[in-house]
Amino acid sequence: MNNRELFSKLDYTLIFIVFLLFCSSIIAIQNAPDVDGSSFAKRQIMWYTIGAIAALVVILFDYERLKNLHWFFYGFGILLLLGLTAAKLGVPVPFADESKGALSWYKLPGIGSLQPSEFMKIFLTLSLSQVIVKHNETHHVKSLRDDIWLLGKIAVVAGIPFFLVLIQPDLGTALVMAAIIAALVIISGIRWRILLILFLFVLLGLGFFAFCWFQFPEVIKLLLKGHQIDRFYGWLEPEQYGNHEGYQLIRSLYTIGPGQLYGTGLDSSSVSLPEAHTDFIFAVIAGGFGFVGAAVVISLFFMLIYRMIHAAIGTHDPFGSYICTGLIGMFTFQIFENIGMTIQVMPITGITLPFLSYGGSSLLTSLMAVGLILSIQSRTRKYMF
Amino acid sequence: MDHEKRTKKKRNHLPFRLNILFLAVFLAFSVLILRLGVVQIVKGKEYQDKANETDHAKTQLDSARGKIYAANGTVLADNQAELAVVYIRKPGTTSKDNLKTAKKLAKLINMDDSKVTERDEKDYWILTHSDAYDQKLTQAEQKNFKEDPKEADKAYDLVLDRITKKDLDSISKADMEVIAIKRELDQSTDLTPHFIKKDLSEKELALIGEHLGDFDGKIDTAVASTRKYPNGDYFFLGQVKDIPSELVDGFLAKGYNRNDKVGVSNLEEEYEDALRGIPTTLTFTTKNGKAVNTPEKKEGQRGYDIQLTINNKLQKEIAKIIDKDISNTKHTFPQPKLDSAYAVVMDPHTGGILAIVGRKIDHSTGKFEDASSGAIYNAFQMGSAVKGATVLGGFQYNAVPEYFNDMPIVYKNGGRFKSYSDFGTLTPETALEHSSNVFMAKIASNMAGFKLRPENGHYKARVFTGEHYRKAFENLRQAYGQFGLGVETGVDLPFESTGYEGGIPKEGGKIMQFAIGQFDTYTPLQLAQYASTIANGGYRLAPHFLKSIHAPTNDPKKLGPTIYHYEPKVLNHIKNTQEEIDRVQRGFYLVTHAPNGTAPSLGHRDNAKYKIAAKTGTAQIDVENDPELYNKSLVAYAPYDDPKVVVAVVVPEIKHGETNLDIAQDIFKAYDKLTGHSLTKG
Repeated sequence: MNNRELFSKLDYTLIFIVFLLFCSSIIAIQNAPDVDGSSFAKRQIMWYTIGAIAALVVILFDYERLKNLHWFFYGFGILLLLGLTAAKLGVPVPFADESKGALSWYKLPGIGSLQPSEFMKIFLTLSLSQVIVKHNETHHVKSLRDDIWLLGKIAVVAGIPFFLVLIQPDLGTALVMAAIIAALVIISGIRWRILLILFLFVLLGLGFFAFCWFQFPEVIKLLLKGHQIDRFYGWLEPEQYGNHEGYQLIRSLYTIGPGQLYGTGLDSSSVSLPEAHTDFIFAVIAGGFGFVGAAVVISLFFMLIYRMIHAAIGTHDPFGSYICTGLIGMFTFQIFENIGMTIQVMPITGITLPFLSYGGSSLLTSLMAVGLILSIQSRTRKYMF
Repeated sequence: MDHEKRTKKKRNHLPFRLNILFLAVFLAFSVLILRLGVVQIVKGKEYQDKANETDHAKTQLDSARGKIYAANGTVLADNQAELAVVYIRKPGTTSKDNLKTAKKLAKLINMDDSKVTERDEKDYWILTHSDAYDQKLTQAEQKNFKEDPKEADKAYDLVLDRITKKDLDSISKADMEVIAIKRELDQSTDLTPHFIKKDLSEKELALIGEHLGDFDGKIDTAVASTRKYPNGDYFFLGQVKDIPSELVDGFLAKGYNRNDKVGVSNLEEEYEDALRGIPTTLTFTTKNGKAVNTPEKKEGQRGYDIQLTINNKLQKEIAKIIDKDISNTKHTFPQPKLDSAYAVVMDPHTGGILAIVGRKIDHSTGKFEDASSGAIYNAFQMGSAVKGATVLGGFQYNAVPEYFNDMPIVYKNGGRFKSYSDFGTLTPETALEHSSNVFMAKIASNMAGFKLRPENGHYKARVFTGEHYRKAFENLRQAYGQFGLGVETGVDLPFESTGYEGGIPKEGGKIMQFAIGQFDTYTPLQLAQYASTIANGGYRLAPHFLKSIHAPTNDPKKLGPTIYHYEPKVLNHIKNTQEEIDRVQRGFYLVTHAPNGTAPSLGHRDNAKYKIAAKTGTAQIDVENDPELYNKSLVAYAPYDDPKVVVAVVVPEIKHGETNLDIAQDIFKAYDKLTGHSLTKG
């Protein structure tokens, strides 16, 4: 397949959605309160350009070759994460850098900060997809044992990066990885029975936690550290903890709420909002453009996911399908968690909003993920009968 | 067919499961939309109102403290008022804002720049050079710093390091003033008034007054006052200082600022509530933690002035008298230990303290220094001066003989207890006149149930130490307490000493020492209260410094309207009949007027006109090493038929000389002169 053919097959709807998100991002960042918005907006454009080029490279690259190369990426990612873990233990690792209490970054002079856990999300998707494909190829008629065996393989491959990220500590990214794993486990072909049991376990866990929270707070104190408990209080009763744990949520609600149906306009925001250009970019949009604007952005994301599902279904290559699904899990969770935390649906964690939040690593990851999906989608073989 | 269907189903598990996943995605997004609708449409208005809610932040500027006047009108505590510029930092103020304010202010006032440090200059250089970072940091360093807000501090320090002397040369003299002002602005904390410059000139004041509007309520003028004691640091005035750290919470609860000055001792502390003014309050409206308007100002009021009963002239005069009389005594009878004396002058009808003086030689300089606090905080064995209380206490227990022959008392162990000499047959009055120890011992013995058997020109004493004795000791001590001896006098100060209480000694004979003032110790103020109680006919009045409290006026020479006038406080009446009190007063009269009294000099010749009644006291204070070392005391009042003034004098550690009498007669003389001859006229 030559390049021309490739480009003619590209899903331009998907590309157009990303372009619209790009526009929203620039407008929102430009008007983020408390920071020098225009300089961040300029840098965001730069990152978009770099990301677009990276995505193009990914599109041109035949993803099927990843079937052989994925372990190399996976290993590279794990190596970087191990470097950070070593730095945490006191080993002098070049460029490792601590910021906001977590060792999650490499600081490269002249380039900027890189967050290996961001890229690890894609590398993990690739490896898990191939593990599942290979398993399903060798076990045509699967027994219950085979299913459990597959679960075990997934647990090992996913467990290592998950754990390394969790101890950074970067709970947000670890949860995103969990979402990727969950999405892939669901479509891996494992029997519903097992999935149902797993699902019940998760539900039971959450139920137990909620029950303890209200009935036996002592148990919660054993499970979580003081500042983590405070974070829950900040989420459940933000007004009471408005000066501390609930501060960000209150600021966010006071920014979003007054937007009402049509928004307050962009420069009328008098409420100061921390991290407005990164984690709380959605609040800027919802406040400035109101429910209508926010709903448009959420719809854009929904259509984005829809196009990705379309690609996942459309391709007849299970490897491509799995990759798409993992990335869908990644995007969905990030979008849900980020928007959710600004409107008190979820507790606040440091997760960026894909395509909208300012930040090099996360944007690069998102665009490369889109590139991967486009690469898969454009190489779909149509079977003619 | 069946088989085909099954494989197809198998192959197609992917789209099916993807659809399930898509359903989950759809549900998740629906939750977001729904919740967004609640936040924006249902509760949007509510959140908007809350976001717009305003709050109030209050701050206050202390008003000048009330003044303290002496009875004769002299100002004892004043404020040195300086006109000052005050800065009230609003929450959310940045260093850049402060620079703007400083630049504006620099045009209006002259500022001393001697406190400015090199660091201040460097901060200023960076603030005023927008390209400071470009100049001092490489591209790579800047990029590094921009990526991470945490690096900002490091980058700033690096720039500071790289600023050269040459760079700083560009700072002009005028800039230095701005820096000096900004330095003060930067040191302030939110909503707490901070003085930028005190002692403004008229011109500066006028200029600032004209431009107050330019500062949005951040700058104001105020009177910064420092407490001054123009007539010397009399101990009873106390001190005004920062709030002691252990009391901060209490003062904050009463509405003080953390950096306020408060009275921390004596009268400044006792009358803090009156002396403290009503502070000027400034109320800011804040929104989201930021001040949004100019503050609303409510002017305060200067504190109340208080007038004391102390006569400043008498106070000063007595200090001179003590210095002179001690010096004279030391000149006539050289004695190194004699180095101090105390005198308290009181109005027996009100308890008002007219003067309270202590003087002590500083041995390193040989000069007299003020030791007036000793009149309240130091206690001494007063000796026979307390015998008036012994006789009246005795009357309360029917223990006073009408007649008693003065002869030495001999104890079983051979110890002797006698008067100055054998005075023959004594009545209670003549016992006081001669200051008979044996008569007092008889009273104590009667109270304790001791037997004194006459035998060959002396008494043989049989002494018991049982319950009867202990009860007698307690009763006598309690009787002394009715006069203020050994108990709190109730003076209007936060703290006073009550003297040393020796308990109940094992040796029964000690009650006789107790009865002649040689056991417990008392303060000069207690002695004065005791004298006043006898002089006024048995009322124990609380001694006090406060005469009245006055509202502030603008006329510095006059006191404002009286708000409160001190009412004499009767603590108790002694449990004696008028006749018994009259007899003791008669005894005090004989001390100064009978030819064989112990202080005839006070009743005759020049002193006759004052009509002084008195009781002397001489306590042996070191029987074993130096039996001739005494505390000499005196209580006196005049005129004896209508007492107007009570004087108590204590001269500790004296060997020779009647300094207690010298001081007393000089005080009566000075008092008479200063009060327009109130003692001698009528």
